[in-house]
Amino acid sequence: MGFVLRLLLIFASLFTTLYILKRIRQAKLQIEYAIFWLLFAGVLIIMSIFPSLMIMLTRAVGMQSPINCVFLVVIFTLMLKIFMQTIEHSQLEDKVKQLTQRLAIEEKLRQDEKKEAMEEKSNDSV
Amino acid sequence: MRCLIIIPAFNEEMNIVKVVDELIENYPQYDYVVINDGSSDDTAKICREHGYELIDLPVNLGLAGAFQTGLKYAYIKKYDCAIQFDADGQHRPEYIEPMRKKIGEGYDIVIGSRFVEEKKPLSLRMVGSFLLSMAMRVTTGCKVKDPTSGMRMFSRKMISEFALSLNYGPEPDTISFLLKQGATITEVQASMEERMEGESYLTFGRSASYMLRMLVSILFIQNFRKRKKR
Repeated sequence: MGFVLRLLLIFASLFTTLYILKRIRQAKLQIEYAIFWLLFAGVLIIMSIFPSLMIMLTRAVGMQSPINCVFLVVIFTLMLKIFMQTIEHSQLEDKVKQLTQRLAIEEKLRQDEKKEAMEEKSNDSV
Repeated sequence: MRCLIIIPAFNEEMNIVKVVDELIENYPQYDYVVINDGSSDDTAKICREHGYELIDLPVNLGLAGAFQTGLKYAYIKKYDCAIQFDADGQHRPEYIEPMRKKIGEGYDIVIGSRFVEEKKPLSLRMVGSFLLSMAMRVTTGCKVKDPTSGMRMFSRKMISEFALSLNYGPEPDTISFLLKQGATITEVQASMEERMEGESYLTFGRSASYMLRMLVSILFIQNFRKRKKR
């Protein structure tokens, strides 16, 4: 891993961390969702500061160059993250749908009750 | 002083009747509300049949969202304090009164703690509790002996803050944040039962990821939060 690339990774990670903390500070981001990105940035920083760790891992999996191994780790992690998000996304969509339906149906039921009460009243007066 | 007992319930059809009936029969001086958190079993139906006070969430929000619903209700109804009370029979209602007294003395948060008078046992389950206590000690300087206790009482001031803000889950990291901001906290000895029926939500994997989240949050993230002025 070249020196420039390592610097780049470190700066990008630090920037990500600062940005995420800023969003939390402004109460725009839930802490549960920030944890992943903070850990991810932390791992990138560790990989950049201690390239020997990546070189060991590269040897262990039998790859040519450590940078390929960095890419592999990053791509694999991001793929997992996207996959998890797809699941969360579809669950969220279902929840919003259920909420909307429930709201609409309850409004209708309330109107039905009102109507029935009115009809009973007019029957009584007849 | 009006006190609301908030009982979040997710798939607790086996325990809910015993828990609520005891409150109604022996503790009529408190108001309570069951928050059904989109259970897939008959929890909501059973509550309606028994005529319990019920807020029925149409979808599952998780404990934080369910409890916050109860706090919003407490806020709208202008309660003076609110307590989180488990639907599985772990919490004993006789400890509510001493906790309420502490709120009356002016504390913001009162924890029903297992380890005020008794010592923390040395078991795998308690390793997490030790770590969280330590993290809170380091970051806030306050000693919280039972940070994972779910039995927490909040004052009127805390109710409004919890009800209306983001990142105010009823978890140790929020407590840690509030302590740092100058909220006052105390613990009252409260022994707890094992859950009566059904399976606990906390498997080993879930506990481990919970611990990681809490530690990162308490040790790192909470230092950067800003408290909104109201």
